[in-house]
Amino acid sequence: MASAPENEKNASAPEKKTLTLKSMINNEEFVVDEHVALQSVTIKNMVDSDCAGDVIPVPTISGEILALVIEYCKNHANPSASEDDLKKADAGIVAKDIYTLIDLVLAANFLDIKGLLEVTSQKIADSIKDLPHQDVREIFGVENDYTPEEEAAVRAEHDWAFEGFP
Amino acid sequence: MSLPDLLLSVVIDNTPTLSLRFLQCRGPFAKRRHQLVDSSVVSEIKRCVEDGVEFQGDLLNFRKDGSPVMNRLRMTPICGDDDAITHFIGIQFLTDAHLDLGPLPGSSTKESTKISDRFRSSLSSCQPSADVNRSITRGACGILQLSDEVMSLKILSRLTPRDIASFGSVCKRLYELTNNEDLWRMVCQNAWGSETTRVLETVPGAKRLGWGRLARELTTLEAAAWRKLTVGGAVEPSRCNFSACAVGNRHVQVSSPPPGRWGHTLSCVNGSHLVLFGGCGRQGLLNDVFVLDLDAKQPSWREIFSLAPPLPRSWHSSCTLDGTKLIVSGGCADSGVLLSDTFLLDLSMDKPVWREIPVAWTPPSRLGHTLSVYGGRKILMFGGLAKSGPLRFRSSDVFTMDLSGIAPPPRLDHVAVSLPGGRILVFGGSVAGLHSASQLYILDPTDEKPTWRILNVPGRPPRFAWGHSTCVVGGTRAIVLGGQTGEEWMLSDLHELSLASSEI
Repeated sequence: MASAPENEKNASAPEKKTLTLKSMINNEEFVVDEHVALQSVTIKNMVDSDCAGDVIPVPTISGEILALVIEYCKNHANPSASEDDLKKADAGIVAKDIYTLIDLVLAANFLDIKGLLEVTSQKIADSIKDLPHQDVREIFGVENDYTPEEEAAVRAEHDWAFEGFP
Repeated sequence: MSLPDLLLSVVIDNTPTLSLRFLQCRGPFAKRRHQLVDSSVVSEIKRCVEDGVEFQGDLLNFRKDGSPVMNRLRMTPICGDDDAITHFIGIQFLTDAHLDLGPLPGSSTKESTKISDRFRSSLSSCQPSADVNRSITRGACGILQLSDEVMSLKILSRLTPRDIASFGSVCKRLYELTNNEDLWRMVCQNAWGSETTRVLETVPGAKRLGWGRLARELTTLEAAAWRKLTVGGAVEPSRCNFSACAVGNRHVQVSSPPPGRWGHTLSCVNGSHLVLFGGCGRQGLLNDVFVLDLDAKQPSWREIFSLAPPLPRSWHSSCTLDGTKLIVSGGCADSGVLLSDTFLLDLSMDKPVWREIPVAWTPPSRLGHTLSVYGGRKILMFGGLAKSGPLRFRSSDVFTMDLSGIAPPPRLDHVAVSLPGGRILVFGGSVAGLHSASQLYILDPTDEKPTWRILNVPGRPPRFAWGHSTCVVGGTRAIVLGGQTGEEWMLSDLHELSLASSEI
C-alpha cells in the first residue's frame, strides 16, 4: 500500500497544509492537500497572491465535477505513480458521458489544469471522430440553426467530406 | 439595435484576473488585446474590482468573426455575511461598433459567411457565466458551452480533415469555427505529420490554395492531372530520363551539367535540391552523385564526392528519407548482373559516406522497380524486372523495409561490449556479403521497445574483426588484437575503440 497520507478526516499533522474548495453550485466542500490543489494554476495564482481565504469558492463547477478534478490532481500529485498508473487513472476519469466530459473540460479550462484539459479534450475529440454531422448534433444536443437552403449550401461547399473517397 | 444580455460574471475573492476574461482580442487566434481597446477602461475595471467599488463603462470587444462590438458594462460588488466581497454581478449591453478594421488577419472567411450570433459571443466572452446557465438547463447546448478557443485548439484540432469539413454542417457556430486557416493547418499537420506540412508550405501556390482546399484536393485527388511540357534546348547524348521526383512546376536553366547518361535516378532532397545518382554513361556504368539547387540564382550541378560508393549501376531505384538521405537499391551492374543491395547516403553530412543498409533478408535482385517512402521511415518496393519469381519480366512484387530500426546483419564470432547503463555494443565477427564488419551497432535492452541503432564513430576501425581476441579495458575501451584476414594471421595490429574521450 502506498504510504501517501490521506487527509479527508482531519489535518492531524500540523505541517501538512490543506485548502478547502467549495463548489458554489451545490455548496459541497472538499478538503485537499495544498500541493494537490496547486496543480490548478488558477488556484496557485490565488494562493501566491494571498487571495485565498480559508475556503476557496469555486464558481460554476458542481461538487460532482470538482470531485473528479480533485481525483485527477491527487493522482498526478503522487510522486510514486508510474506513467502507466497515471494513464490508467486518466482513462478511468474520462470514461464518462459526454455532458460530464464537457463539464470537465470547462472545469479544467477554468482552473487551468493543462493535463486534465488535454485528456478530456482528447476524449471528446475521439468520441466525435468520423461521425456524420447529424450524429454530432444528437450527441451534443446541438440545435440545427440552418434553414434547409443554408444547410444544403454549406453541405455543397464541403461535399467531398460526405462522399466515399477514390 | 441592441439586445440586453444578462451575464453573471463571478469574481472570487477580489482576484480580477480570474474571470475577467473579456475577449478584447480580434479573431479566435489573436494573442493580444486589440490596439483599439481602450486600456484605461481595462485598468479602470481592474481598479474598481480591487477597490471593491462599482464600475460602469464602455469597452470595445470583438465577436468571433472579428466584427467590433461595444460592451456597455456595469459591475456591482456583492458582499457576503462578513461584509467581504465575494462576487461581482456584471450586466452588459452589446451595441454594434461602427469601425472599419479591414478583414480579419489569417482568416479566409468570406464576408458572406459571416454568421455572428450576439448571444453566443457574449457567452464565451465571459466563459464562467455560461456554465451557471448550463447547470440549470443541462443538455440544452452541450458542446457549444465550450469557448471558441477550447473548441478549436483542444478539440477540433485533433480531428481529421474530413471531420472538419463535415462538421461545418452541424450548426452555424461550428461552421464559423471550422472556416479557419489556422485550424485547418493544425488538422492537416495532425493528419499528415509536421514534416509533410512543412514541405507543403514551401510549394509555390499552396498558400494561395489554403489548407482547407489542399486537404480536400489531396484527399479526393480531384485535381490530379498529367501535364505535357515541351522544353527547349538539346540534351546530349539522348538522355532517357527514367526517374521522376516532385518539386513543383517550373522551368530551370542549369549550367555545368553532369556527363550524359541514362538509367540514372533523380531524387528530391532538402525540399528543392535534386540529386542524381548513377546510370549508364558513355564510358560505361556510373556511381557518381550530383546535386542541383533549384532555388539558386543560377542553378548549377555540383558533384558530391562521397566515400565507399556502391557498385556502378543503372536502372536502379532511389528515394529520399528524412529529406536528406538518399536511398539507392538494386539495378544492373556490369555485364548485366542484377543487384539486390540497398545503400544509404546522408547528404547532410560534410563528407557523405555511403552505408549499406543491413537487412536480414533481401528480395530477389531486380532493376526498373520503384521505391516509395511511407509512414516516415518505411520503404515500399514495387515491380521491376526480377531475376526470379513467377514472371521474369514485369514483376508485381511488393516488398517493404522498415528503416526505423536497423538490425545488424547476421554474424558469428563477433564482439559484444556491455556499456555502463546497460547498453550493448556489437561489431565485428564473420558477416556475410558486403557488409562492413567494423560498423558499430548499439541496443538498449532496457528500452520499452529495444531498437538497434547504428553508431558512427570517427577514426580508423580494424578492417577485419573476426577470429580475433577482444577485451574491454576499464569499461570505456575495447581492444581488438590480431585475427585472421582471410589470407594471413596477424598479431601485430591492435585497434582500440574508446568510448570516452581520451585523457589529456
